[in-house]
Amino acid sequence: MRWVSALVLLVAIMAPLAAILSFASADTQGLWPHLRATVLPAYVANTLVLTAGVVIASILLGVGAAWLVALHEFPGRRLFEFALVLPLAMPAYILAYAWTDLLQVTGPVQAALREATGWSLRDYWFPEIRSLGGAVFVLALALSPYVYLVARAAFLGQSASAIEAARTLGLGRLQAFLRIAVPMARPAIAAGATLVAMETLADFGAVKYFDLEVFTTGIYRAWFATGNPAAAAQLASLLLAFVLIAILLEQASRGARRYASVSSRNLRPIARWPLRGAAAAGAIAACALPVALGFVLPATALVLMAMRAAPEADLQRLQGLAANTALIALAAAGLVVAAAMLVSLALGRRDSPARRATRVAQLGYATPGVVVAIGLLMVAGTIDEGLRSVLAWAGIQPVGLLVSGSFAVLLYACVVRFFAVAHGPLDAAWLQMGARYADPARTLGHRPASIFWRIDLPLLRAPLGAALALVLVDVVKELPATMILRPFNFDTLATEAFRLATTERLDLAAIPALAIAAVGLLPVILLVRGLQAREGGERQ
Amino acid sequence: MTALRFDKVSHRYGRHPVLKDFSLSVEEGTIMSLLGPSGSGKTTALRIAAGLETPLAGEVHLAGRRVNGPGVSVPPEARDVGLLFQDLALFPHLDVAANIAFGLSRAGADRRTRVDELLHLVGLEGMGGLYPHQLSGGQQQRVALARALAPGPRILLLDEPFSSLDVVLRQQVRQETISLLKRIGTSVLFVTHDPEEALYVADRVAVMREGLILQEAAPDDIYLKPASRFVAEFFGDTTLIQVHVRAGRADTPFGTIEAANVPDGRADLVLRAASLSLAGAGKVEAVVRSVRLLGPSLMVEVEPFQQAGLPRTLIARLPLGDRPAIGARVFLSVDPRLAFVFPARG
Repeated sequence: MRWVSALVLLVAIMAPLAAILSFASADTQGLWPHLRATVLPAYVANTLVLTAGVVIASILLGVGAAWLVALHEFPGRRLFEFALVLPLAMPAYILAYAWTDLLQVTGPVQAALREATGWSLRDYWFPEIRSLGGAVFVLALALSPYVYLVARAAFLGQSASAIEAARTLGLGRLQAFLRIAVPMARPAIAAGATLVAMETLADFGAVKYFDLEVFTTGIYRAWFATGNPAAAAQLASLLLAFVLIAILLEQASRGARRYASVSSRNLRPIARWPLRGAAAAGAIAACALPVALGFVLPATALVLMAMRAAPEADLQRLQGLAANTALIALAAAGLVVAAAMLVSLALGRRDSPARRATRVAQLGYATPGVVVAIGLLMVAGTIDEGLRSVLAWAGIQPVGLLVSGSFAVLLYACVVRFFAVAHGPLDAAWLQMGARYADPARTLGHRPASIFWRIDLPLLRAPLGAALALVLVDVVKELPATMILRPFNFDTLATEAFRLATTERLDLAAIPALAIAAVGLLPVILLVRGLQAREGGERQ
Repeated sequence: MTALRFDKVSHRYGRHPVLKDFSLSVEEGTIMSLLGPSGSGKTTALRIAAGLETPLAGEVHLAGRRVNGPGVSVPPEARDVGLLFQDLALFPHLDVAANIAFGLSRAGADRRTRVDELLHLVGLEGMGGLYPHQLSGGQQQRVALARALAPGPRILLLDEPFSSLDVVLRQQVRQETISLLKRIGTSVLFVTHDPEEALYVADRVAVMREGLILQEAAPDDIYLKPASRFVAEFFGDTTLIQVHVRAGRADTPFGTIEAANVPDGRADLVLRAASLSLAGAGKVEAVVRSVRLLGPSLMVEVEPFQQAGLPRTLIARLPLGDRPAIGARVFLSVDPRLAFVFPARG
């Protein structure tokens, strides 16, 4: 059967998760009760506070900004509409490095403060960025564009009639927004908030750099410092439970309500409310704040740090890092996109239960990188053990591990993590095309393979390119799985930036970090162009 | 010779049967219309002929070759059929010439000659370098036709090919297309839900309902000798009257009408609007309630005085010149050639 290949791929994607769950029932040699008594309460409390804080801050920032740019008119609105997406270019851990440099004792902010006041170090209190609050600050800045994007799209997609009906029924503008527009946009906002929660739960780079005791750092420590796979697996299972709760909360928040979407033909968008004077200035300030804190200031800081560190930089090593990063990113993106295309092809051109079943691949994306990496180490370790015994039986004594620590395992992790990133949009484009062109092509004498090369591939060029770019950038930014699974002495820009930052060479870390941020701009540009194209089309 | 033959073909989607013992033959060089309401299975029959769908039972023969049957299922690319879709489905990334050449296996100059030949045939000389989005709706239609004809198919399958065009353009393109197909003598199976279109294009018409062929005949016979109430009513503009049949004759308020082969007892009389005449010495006295101009003809609503056995109002179609006054008293008579008697249902 042709869906067997799809099934094999999905099983492969689920394998590390299954490994985690099966190892979680293993004996921890007494470590688990110890963990439960000592660090677990802190992990749970910190993770909950961090996630709740980031989600709430992201909703306030994202919905507020979306409300301003989607429903108001003020100078610079069109610029902000797109600038508000810019923080997505930088992964949270890079924001963390930049803000640490800005706010640390020797950084420009505190230096300027001392300069201005004449205080010495002991004369004043200053908030510590490397704290739980700091992590909320950094992660909310990095992730709020997700909420902004969905909320803005939801507000723009609402029909003016509902708001106008509310106004004629006696609601003021703000009341109409809070009682009609926000509730109508709630499913979208909930989806964005869930994504933010999942990304927060998955974050490793920022929390590890800030030395926080949350699940991801705890799993890492249980595995590498304590060398206790069963304890790591149990912590990972708990983290997965948190992810699952986030997903279920989103489903529950939709409840039984149905939000009929108005077809775009009948849609009359809400007229933008013009703001003048103080109100306009307030709107500009409110939009400028997340852009400045989430992109302009940290990017500037990184550039200054990099310039400071430039004389010390090892160019040859940086080239090697860039080459390594390009190698893994290109190989992974190619592999993921090829796998996604294969699954789409294997499942035919119509929607089906088998096709809907492929959505479980989204679990791979929802699973934090640390968990995927550890799950894969378990799978690889089991394979290595098997290979070793087979080889021993054949009288061969292998040196070291064969599968663990190989480039293939790292690629495997990328497929697990990012398959859904490529497959979702690609399969949507594939289904939308359906058999529309394939049917006439077949009656014109072409076999399916010929149709794939001559019709399907050329017509899917845009979604394939977009999927390739998205996965490529995700792999470049990816930190924990790469750090855990990379072959010996194989460093990427992300692992090098992390290594330098954690060894107190923050300014040197800025150079690879800047390179990552530059690559990260690529999907932001794609996204902005996509938004512009779509809205240009709607206005016609 | 038969270009296409369905022999007791059955098919279903899930539990829902779409074709039941479907049999139909298209003779070589003729145009067959497959007419039916949406959901009657006509498009499925077409897709089965093209090989895009494999029937669960029955046989399909193309030009004497069995392409579906026990142990046989020839894929679409090996069938030699041309297919013209409702949405045309021109390949958007290929220019006109490449679209037309897509089904040609020949290489080089030969190929170019054939493309030029087809561009000439459909009247698009010199437009081979344009892309589909640069063409008008009518031009796209012609490119799709040229693409389907290029490989020289044994039969051309058309699925509502004109429905995406507006009314005026549709008539023009339809006329061009049919005269072109007649000129080159292609065998055609033409699926449509538009009765007028079916009568216009076809040598033979097959009326379909719920997976079954109800009647297959020449267009005149389909219109003038419908085999069932459904076929008679499918062309629209009819009035249904309950009548009684005795010894092959139906008793109607308009007099007796021949009803051969209808058993004695209750029966249905179907009147085409054009069968009602207001002039002359009819038996039913009525008053004109309204007159509406419908382009080429008038739609006249009349109310009979004697309601027994008649609906409250009847609709007649009259030529423009015969406009009656509203409120006028008239005598209704029926042209028996446009009045049909069928056994009562159920």
